[in-house]
Amino acid sequence: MKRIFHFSSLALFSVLNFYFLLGVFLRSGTEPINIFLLSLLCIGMVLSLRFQLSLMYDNQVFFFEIVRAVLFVSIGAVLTFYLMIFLHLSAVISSSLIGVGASFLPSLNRKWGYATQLPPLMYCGTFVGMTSPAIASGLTFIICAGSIAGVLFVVSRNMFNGFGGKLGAVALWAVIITSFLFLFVL
Amino acid sequence: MMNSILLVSIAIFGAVFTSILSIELKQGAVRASALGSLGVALYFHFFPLVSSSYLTQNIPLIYFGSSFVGMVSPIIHPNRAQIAISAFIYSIIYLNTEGVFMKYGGRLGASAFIAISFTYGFQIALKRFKLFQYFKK
Repeated sequence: MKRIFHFSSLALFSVLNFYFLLGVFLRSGTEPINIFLLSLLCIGMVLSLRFQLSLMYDNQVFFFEIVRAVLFVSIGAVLTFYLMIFLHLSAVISSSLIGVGASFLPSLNRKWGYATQLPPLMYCGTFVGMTSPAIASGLTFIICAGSIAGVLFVVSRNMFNGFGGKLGAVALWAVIITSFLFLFVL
Repeated sequence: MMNSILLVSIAIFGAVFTSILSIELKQGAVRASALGSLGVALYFHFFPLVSSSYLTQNIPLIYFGSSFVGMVSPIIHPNRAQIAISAFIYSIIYLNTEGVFMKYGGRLGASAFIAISFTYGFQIALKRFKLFQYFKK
């Protein structure tokens, strides 16, 4: 069961990343240099995935972990979106401002065992909140995307540990999934 | 051409600087990335005329994304050269994805993730196939 969960989580992550690479390919054209670069990227990703597949992690997920992740990712997303839209700050300033603030949260009370997990959660939320209003129709979209990002964060917590950009990748997929949901379902 | 070289250089600098802040200065990955990005973004916010509008718009973005490359753990990229290579790959992706998923939050992070996956994947392949032994002989 653990192996199936690990494999399917990895498969979902891989599909979403290759979807991004496909978008790059369609955008950049079919010149030989582009094909060469994209081929190298695909090979590199496949090699990384192969290594991740060979590692068995304990993927037990607790309900409280998901609730905490959804809550703090959504808070980060909403705060960033607020700074962008109502205070008219740029996306980078909004996100990094919230990120700096969140990085000091563990210092508030060192007895909180889970406090060290709050900065990455909120920083991931800031990437969701950076979504332009042209894509995000409002706070409902942001909260929905933040919730999905929180779930994806917990599901992928034992995958690609130490990889920079993983939080951003999680945020991007949450925004894409939410866009599809709002377009076709809601 | 000059703009692209400048952006690539900033990406490499951003990644290495974030790594130094995070590990050597023990600020942690999130604070290192956010602090550097905030500084660069505020600089171009208050002094937008220092450079062309293209650079004023893109330097904070490319630095922000390269700081995610710098957030990589030393277990994945034990030395600065690997971080620099990943940052270089990231900058190539950035310059070639200007129209892909524009305005979607997390796009820069996904690009950084793919760049690190690429470098890490080849690092594993080189170790597994022991390609360097031919150069040592």
